[in-house]
Amino acid sequence: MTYEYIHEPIEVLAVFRKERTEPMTFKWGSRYYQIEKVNLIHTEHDGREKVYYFNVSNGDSSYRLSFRSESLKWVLEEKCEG
Amino acid sequence: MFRTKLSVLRPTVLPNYRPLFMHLDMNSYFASVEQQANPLLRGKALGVCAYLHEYGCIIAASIEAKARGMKVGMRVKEARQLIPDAVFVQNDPAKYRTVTSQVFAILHDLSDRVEHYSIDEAFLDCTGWMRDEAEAAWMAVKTRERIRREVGEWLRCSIGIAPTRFLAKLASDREKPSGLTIITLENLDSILLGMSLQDVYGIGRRMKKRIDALGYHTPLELKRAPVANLMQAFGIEGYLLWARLNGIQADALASNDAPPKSIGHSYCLPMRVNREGRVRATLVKLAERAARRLRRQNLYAKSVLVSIAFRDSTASYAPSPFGPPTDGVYQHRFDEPVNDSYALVHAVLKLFDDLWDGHRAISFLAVTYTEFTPPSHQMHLCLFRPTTYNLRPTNSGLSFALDVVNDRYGDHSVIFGSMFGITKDEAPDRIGFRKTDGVDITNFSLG
Repeated sequence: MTYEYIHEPIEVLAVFRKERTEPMTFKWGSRYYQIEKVNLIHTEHDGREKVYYFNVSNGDSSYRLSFRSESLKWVLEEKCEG
Repeated sequence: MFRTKLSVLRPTVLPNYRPLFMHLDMNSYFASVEQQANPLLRGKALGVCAYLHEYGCIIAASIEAKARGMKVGMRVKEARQLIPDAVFVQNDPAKYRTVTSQVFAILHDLSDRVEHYSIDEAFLDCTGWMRDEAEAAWMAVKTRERIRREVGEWLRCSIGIAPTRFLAKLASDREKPSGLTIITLENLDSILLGMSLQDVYGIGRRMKKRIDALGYHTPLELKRAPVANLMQAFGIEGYLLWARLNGIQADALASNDAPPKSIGHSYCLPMRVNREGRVRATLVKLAERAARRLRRQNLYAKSVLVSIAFRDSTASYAPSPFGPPTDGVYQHRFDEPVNDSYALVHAVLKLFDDLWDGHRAISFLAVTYTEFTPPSHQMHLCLFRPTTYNLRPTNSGLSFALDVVNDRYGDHSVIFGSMFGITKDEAPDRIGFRKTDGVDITNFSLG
């Protein structure tokens, strides 16, 4: 199993449902990644800004995405491959 | 919301309801949350560490790792030797606090009285909300299902139901993982029959020795012992022990709003911090972070303690309020309770300079503020230096202003000069099992 710390901005296609928000697809570099499952969402404060972390997976890969409530930017934080 | 109506609906007189308590204990909590977040970790022997270092300590092991012998408190090196294919991850406090907030919010739908006992445990007083043990068990199963559905399918918990808080905890400890145990006054003896003294919550190695010396060797013998004998040996604690084992309510649910008895931070220093001369900076960071928590809770401390342990220590260990053995604990008491960082950091550094010669490598540092009392708000005049007034109001204002800046732009946006050069790796955010700071059931919605 390999962990990689990435911390790079990404483009995300997300769905805003009645009770939750879920990222569906993200583009990192020139490649698109389909998200199969959102496993856990957690939050953290960085000063006044709230950061949402989405732990998502796709087959043999798992990713940690972050969304910042002030700048409205998505970042790919980590990648894990089995 | 249903939760807001509970306290209104709760009947004030409960003539026909028998006392019912529930205890919920999340199984292998930190490890299960990590496995929930990352499915690639599921089914694997996983150790959650304080620090990802060979000498880092395992603070949680997955159910799979426990089955293969990994124990909390082991060093990473030791655990790796035992289970070569084990995976280790560093703990992530924000993750655990969020999940706990979600779990506790579900529990608050069951009763208006929920005690947030620790980051992974809660007590519920269900008296009046559920008719009997059968209904409580049905609600417990539904709650477990809600946790799996709404928080995470990999999270497991053990639940105990009993007529007292103590017996509810005893029940949940009985079967792990995913146990559901009901203790009643009728089956209490048969439950106690198979247990040893140290299986009983609150009886440690030393207490067991003292109880053994009285001639009682099992919890059942202790339950049947004449209460006078226990009171003679242990005083009021003897009565409480007897009462708890006999199903008499001896412990009320603690309030979640009760102020803490102490606030502090500790850190096990890696050798590089000593080598690079950042020991004092790390101590100031601990002192300042604890001071921020003090002000956030609007508390004032009358006393500060600094504790250190040396790497080459051979001395007999001094008793420590922080848990790990230390080589020295020094205390300073203020004339007036304070919560401004300047007074606190100044006192901490003064104590530290008394404890440390500046050369010996340090392995552990801790700062604790205690004796919380409200301030008198009286100006102190010095009789011998009439022109010097107490400058505390100015320092308090400055600390408050710095808090506003740090709250807006993030922790450590403005720092003490003595903290220069310190990185975020030194004394990072940590979580204690008995701590529920940051757990907020009103803020669990992530939609």
